[in-house]
Amino acid sequence: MLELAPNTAYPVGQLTPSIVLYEPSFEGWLSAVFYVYANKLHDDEALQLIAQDCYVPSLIAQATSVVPNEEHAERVLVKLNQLLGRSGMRNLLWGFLSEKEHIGTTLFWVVKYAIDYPNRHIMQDVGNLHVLELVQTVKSVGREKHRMEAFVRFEHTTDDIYFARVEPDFNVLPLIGEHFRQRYQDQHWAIYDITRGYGIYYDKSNSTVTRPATLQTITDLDDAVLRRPASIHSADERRYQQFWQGYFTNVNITERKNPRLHRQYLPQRYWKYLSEKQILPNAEHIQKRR
Amino acid sequence: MAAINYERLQGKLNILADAAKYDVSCSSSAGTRKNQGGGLGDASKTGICHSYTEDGRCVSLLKILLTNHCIYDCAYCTSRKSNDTPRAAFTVEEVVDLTMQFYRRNYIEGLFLSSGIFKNGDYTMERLVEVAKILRTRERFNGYIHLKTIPGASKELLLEAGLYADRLSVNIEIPTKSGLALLAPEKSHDELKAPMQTVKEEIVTIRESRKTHKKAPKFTPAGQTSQMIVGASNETDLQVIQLSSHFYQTYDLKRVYYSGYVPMLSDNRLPAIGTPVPMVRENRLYQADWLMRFYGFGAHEIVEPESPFLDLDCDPKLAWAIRHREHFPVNIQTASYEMIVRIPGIGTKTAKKIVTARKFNQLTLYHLKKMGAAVNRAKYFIATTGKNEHLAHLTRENFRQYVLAQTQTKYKDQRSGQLALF
Repeated sequence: MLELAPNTAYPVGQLTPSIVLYEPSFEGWLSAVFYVYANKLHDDEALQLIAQDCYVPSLIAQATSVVPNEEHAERVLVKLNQLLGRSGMRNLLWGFLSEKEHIGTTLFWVVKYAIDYPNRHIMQDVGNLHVLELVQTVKSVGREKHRMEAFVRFEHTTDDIYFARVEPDFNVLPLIGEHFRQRYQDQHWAIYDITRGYGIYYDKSNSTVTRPATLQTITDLDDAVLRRPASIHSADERRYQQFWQGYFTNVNITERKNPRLHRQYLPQRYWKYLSEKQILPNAEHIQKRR
Repeated sequence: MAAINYERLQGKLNILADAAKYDVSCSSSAGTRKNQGGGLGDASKTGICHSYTEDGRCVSLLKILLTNHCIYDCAYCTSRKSNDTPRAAFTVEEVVDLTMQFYRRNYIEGLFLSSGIFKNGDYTMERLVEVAKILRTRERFNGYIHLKTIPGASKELLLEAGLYADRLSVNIEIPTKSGLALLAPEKSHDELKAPMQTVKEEIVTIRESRKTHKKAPKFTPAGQTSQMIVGASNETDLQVIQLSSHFYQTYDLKRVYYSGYVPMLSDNRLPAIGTPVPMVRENRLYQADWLMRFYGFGAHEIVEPESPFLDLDCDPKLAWAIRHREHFPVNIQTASYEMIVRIPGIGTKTAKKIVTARKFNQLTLYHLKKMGAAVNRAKYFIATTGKNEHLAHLTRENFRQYVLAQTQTKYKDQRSGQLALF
């Protein structure tokens, strides 16, 4: 009977796992891809690659956890680099950082498509629904990256660090660091992702005239400071926030008020950390007085 | 440097932001300045909108007037001499301080500095240039700087401004000569175009010299722009579009902005206070402008002399397609890119996707939808390999009414107030 033919990768009697769990890092996912090919699971149409922390155990499906393996990850990376090039790899990484529920599986089908058709520019084939899904996810991640580059609001602290809190939809800190590193070379700054509990920090004393400092990762910031950064504001900070609020209010044309458009461009979930959206209607400092 | 009086600065900022708000340009794109040598700021090629005001406009730059004192009395301008409005003036150091501090907090991409004209054009322009010079040299600021060229300022000052600024602009204000003569008798189109010509010539000169001397200074790397007010005088869209087309071709402008007139002054030469801002018309003009700059349309195709206004009920590309059904249906599997971007509901990005994806697949309306096309409009104009039953409508008698009825915006109620102007 065909369906009971011995599978060389598995002892007879063990079911083929249709779910492969990876440790939630890009390396973890690459290791899982290696595992799938090493165990010849790649033709299983029901195969799913799921991040460990998102997996809800079920009675029907059987899941296998893959331990990250640097060597395996590296081998997959080299192969994918060769198949997809820089821009293709960028798509995979950005897609991965979306942390979407099914992204591990989508990425896998894209990778399999690339491996099956090594001479095809598969990333251009948006007629393939997995490629399309990835391209659209990359677009959302790109949009979030751009929004974070726009909506980060630094607050100057008593330590002379410009500090910002964010809660991005996707894990975009690894993508926005370079933009801020190039731009703010002559000030200390940090951006902290409250949702994911880590941040990036630029210490200008490590920079030289020709080379901005390398970014550092920071974790475990004081909860009290994160909730109320005003406690560490420098003497000038409040003044400039008020200037900004006065500017923001007065550059608006009230005759053209358009709340729907306003919300479309500036979705409400971002307002929390925008000082210009914390203005009381009759605040003294927004009035036009000489 | 003089100490800054921070107590008074808030009031000044509020007044001079308010006075600058009718200048539409907020773009911070096309900057190429890199942060070299550990300074502050690094241009973003595509520009960044850091916030949006409640009117839905982008806040990218600190857009202020140096002063709203003005010797001119242009009817449409809130800073006109005869208007009873609070006046204020920044010092050069105050503008520098606000720009640096806002930039450091990631509020802005840079500075847009304009001014009312005090004493004379040169005196005003000198101060604008001084701000830009201090930012670039003393503060080592590499963010975006957009300076307004003041009418009547000397050529030498314009040339100096272009060395520090990323972009220069002079507003043509009113699209027709007769309209300008009526509303701003002290200004003329020729006088306003003169600095445009100077800047354009210098851009060409510097571009040539950079071919041989790589280190030659850059001159307004983001080019120059202009703005005109629509709805303040009785200009037609045909006149507006033709003037823009002329600017793009003759002066190589990067952008022309259209500012729907907001009635805020009582003057019998102007629409009465309370007249709705012509926002739909303004929107259609921008769409038409895009068609000229990115879609390969000529001005003569967008508005035709026999009906000199844009169709407010539908976008100008759809309007063109309805007038010229002889060009449709377009087969997305085989047509050229140039023809695909002319299909209503398909933008440049989708058109590019179509051209690459069709090598792999026979594209269907479903694919188009997934790629982001507005299929509700596009479907009447497209031939695919499979059958497209919507094409049957293309030859209908009342095609325009039919398509408009099917593609009506759900926000019509909110926008219809605008139409009363005409």
